[in-house]
Amino acid sequence: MRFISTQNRRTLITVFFVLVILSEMGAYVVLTPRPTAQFFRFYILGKNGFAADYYPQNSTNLLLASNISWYLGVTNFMGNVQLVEIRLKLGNETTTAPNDTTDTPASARELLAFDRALMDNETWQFPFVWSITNATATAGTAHILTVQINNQTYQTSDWSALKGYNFRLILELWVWQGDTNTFEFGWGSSAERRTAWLQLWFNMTGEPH
Amino acid sequence: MAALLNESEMKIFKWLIEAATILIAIIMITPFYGRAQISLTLQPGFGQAITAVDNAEAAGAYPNEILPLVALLNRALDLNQEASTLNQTGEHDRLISSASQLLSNVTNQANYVTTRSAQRAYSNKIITYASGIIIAVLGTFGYVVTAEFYERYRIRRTFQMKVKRR
Repeated sequence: MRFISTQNRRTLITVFFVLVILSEMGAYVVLTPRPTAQFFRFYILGKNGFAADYYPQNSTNLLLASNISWYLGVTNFMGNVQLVEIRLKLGNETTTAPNDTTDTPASARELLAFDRALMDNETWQFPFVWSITNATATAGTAHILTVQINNQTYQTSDWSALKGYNFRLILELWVWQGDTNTFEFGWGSSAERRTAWLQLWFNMTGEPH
Repeated sequence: MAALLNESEMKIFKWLIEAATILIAIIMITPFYGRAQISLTLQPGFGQAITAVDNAEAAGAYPNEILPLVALLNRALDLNQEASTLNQTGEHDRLISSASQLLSNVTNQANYVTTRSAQRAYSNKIITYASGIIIAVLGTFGYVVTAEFYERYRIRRTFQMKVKRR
């Protein structure tokens, strides 16, 4: 071309290399996934799907055979497929709650667990309908003997509370660890470890609502 | 007992009893941690399957490729759950065997998806970086054309100038 003098040629080469650098930087940004926060959302909802109405007539003093409807849910924001387990534990006032600092689970006995493999951004929500089907009281202590959960009856061993006050259901989120091939309480996120757990308190004093 | 043992042996015996008592106390105090619900037979299979699916995702597999693998994993979990409620050994073993077979399928399919996704990701990388070069070439060409037009415009303006006497 007529105008391509030595000076123009230099300019052209400079323009070309500047454009190469800029476009390759753009390509790198497009190809490199952005780091995102890795976590789980773990929740429990009342019978209407809201964070309310957890107990019949909003009374935490439960009666035999009264159905309690909840929804349990977990959402995976870890960025990859995760195998999760929700462990249900039966506690009372003296039970040691899970510790977020030391990442230790509750000391209460585990009754059952729900397992599921979750894709990234997938939410797993399922109904959790339960009722106390058999209970007794001896020497001022209430003992819950059997509970029905999602139409399945489970025997509880030694789930008791003084005068029927301060029973609690503890739900913990356990996550599969590939290096140990077991479920562990909580999950690793960047350099730190996180845990997620829920608990709901109730009484069973035998008095009407 | 005391008659059978001498003084030093008695001391050792007492020490052993104390140590055993302390050990039992520690075990009793330790909180009960719920055991994993997944059958011990299936744990290595689950480990391999999850690792294989993770690798497939890391290699750039699309969600629609991962979805069937996750569905199979959940089917294996259901079989494991079903097996845990059975008392009959034969039926229990059959379900565990089915779950194990499913997990092997997941691992094999995930490995295949990993290979395919890695090749695709490599091709995409090459195409994207090559596109950068092409964009740079086109940009340079655009610069040349623009510069040419600007040069012509400037020459035309220079010769279109009118000189007026004041």
